[in-house]
Amino acid sequence: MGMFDDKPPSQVGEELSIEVSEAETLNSEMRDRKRMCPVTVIVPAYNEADCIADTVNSLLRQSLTPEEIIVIDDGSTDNTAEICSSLGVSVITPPENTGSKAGAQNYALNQIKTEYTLAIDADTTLKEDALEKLFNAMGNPEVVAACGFVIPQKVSTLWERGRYVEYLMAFTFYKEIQEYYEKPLISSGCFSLFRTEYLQQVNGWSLRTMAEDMDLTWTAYQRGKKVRFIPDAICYPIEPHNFHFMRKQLKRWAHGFIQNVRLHWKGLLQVPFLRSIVMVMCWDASIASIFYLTAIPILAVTVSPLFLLGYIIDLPMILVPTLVKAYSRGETWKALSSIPAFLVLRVVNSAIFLEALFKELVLKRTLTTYEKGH
Amino acid sequence: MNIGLPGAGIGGLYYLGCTAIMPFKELLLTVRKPEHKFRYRLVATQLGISFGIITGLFLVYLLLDSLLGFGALTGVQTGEDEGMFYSLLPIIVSFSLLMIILSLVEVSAFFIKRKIRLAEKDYK
Repeated sequence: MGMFDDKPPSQVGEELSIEVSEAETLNSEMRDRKRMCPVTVIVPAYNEADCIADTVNSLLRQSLTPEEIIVIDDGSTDNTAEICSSLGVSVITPPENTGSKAGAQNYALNQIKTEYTLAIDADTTLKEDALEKLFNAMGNPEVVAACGFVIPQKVSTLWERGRYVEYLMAFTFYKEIQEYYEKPLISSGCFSLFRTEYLQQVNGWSLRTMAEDMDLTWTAYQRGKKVRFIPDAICYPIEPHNFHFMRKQLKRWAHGFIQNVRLHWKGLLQVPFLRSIVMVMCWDASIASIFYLTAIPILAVTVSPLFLLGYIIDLPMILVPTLVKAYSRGETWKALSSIPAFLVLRVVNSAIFLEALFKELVLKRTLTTYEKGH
Repeated sequence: MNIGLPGAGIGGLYYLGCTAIMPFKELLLTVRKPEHKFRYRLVATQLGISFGIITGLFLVYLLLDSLLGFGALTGVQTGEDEGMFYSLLPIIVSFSLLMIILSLVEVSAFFIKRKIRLAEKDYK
């Protein structure tokens, strides 16, 4: 495998600049190919005209061909539906906007006839063999979901760079260990393959929390099912490019995490390893965040400015896994130059989590409105 | 999806601990299940990353020590032993915290399981 083989299709240049007619041909050829798999792809979309073609084209180019690709046009006011139709995939439209990604996915669920369902975000492209890698992980009947490695499609703004480092670090180190202990924390919402029967058993993606992917994953564990993380199955979502959208996304994730812990805590305690990572995460996100945002500056002012080193003293923890992955992708400099952005993102992430914690637990103001992250 | 403070905190320490257990767990699986294949690559990669992290943290410690001295943060003039204590304090505190949290989780899990078992017994 060459050094640049797993670049996002949109960065490979000509790969995604195929004309619509070519895509139509591809789609008809797709159905004639022999390597079809019993998978229906569902793509919830709301005003995704800018990126939906890239997503659909990357699905059409998969080494394993899904039986059907369904785009759920959730009340878009742009030409998302027209673009998808021109690419030859099925488009369904709920009678009115469902209000969330989960709502749109559930709308499609009863139309799925295949054994497996691939859920992918409208802004997410896939490496050519990503579906095949996930599909191969479903051999064990106890496995109900599988997810892959996430790498931001665009890495230019401060927020995208911060997210890039965060993903390289987390998916190379944390998630690999979670997979080893057979408890990946979440089957990522942007790209996951599910056993359709399981989705139907749990009535699809729940609307009771803001992190439906976490809810679905933790429910699976409590039912004795397995979830897999396949690092070679790579997807490339578009991450929030500015503070406005990043804040929305982090807010949704923070509230979603708290809501899921409150909802599942009794069940979580029955699941070894998962209960430990969730508890450690709770500590780091709450108590450690308070220390990080208040104690360090106070100590820096009252005792010694050297306490500010506390913000960067754990750099090896971030640098090593990030650079291991970045080096294998030929992106060492990109990763190194993005480290400061991650440090900024981490502070913002902590502050937003504490705000969410205060709102959910003290003010009892649960977040219920789904806001798109870009 | 990461919440709060990825990298900092006791989370990192927890994952380092999990990595340290991996080769032993793998060995045990290989002995117990003849069909199990020792996952050398995975274990070696994660151990390598952990080793890199620990080495990196140690280098940071040496760098800070050579630049600032052990007592620099506290502003207290320290002897070598006292200085060593200050430098190891964050590790001792973090490790103790992690142990307390993990123990609390296990104790809670035990009581919840017991409660559920008792409730099931009553139901029958």
